[in-house]
Amino acid sequence: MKKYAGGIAALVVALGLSSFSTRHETKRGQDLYPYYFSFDGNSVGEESDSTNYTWLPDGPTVECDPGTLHCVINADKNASGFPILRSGGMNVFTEVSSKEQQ
Amino acid sequence: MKLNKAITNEIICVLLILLYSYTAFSKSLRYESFVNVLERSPLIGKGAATAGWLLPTVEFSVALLLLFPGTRRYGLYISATLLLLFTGYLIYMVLFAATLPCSCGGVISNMTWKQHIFFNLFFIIINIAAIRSYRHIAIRPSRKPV
Repeated sequence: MKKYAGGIAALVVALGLSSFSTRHETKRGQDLYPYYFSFDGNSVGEESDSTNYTWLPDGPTVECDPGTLHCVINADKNASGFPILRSGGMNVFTEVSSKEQQ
Repeated sequence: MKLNKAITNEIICVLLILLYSYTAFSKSLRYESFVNVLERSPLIGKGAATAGWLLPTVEFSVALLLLFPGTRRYGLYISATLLLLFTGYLIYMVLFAATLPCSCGGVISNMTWKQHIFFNLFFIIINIAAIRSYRHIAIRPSRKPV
């Protein structure tokens, strides 16, 4: 049993870390499904076509704090996507502002 | 000297088990998101659903092979092959893909693609070092008391 100790410890740590990070991301995304966009620092780029996320009629709007990379996306009230902005290959912390469709 | 190599080998195997089991668990727990991202990959595309369960299964199997001393050698060879294939995929995507979807979980998702390549290269180097030292340990005959 002793010779498996390191490996078993690694498995337990991996399970703990992955479940923690998954729970953290789900909580951050308000139980919405993942959804990916590109972001050049000012505007939202390509949309994913595999979820039914919808934008406000005026189009996607994003407000970001360049210091914290915390962004708010203005989206449809019925949005079911978890928007993740990626800038330079990095995930940018995002949240949905669920406004009524105008 | 032989003991040092055995300890180094053990540490490398634990690191690889941690890497493979972490990525396998993360992909399994975020299955829908993982498949969603794979669908957008130009190289995987329609095979996303199959790759979605096949990749975590293979990763977890490699972690198990590395766990048991009897199968560790096979685990190291398969692990090195997987890392080389995945790094080749990352390099291809960085050089030729128009969009770069990322399906990595947790800490790894915070890396850029280029950082991810260097991260993989580190694991390839220690993986190859473990294979070399494992062969050395296995080839050298043990001394028997007279």
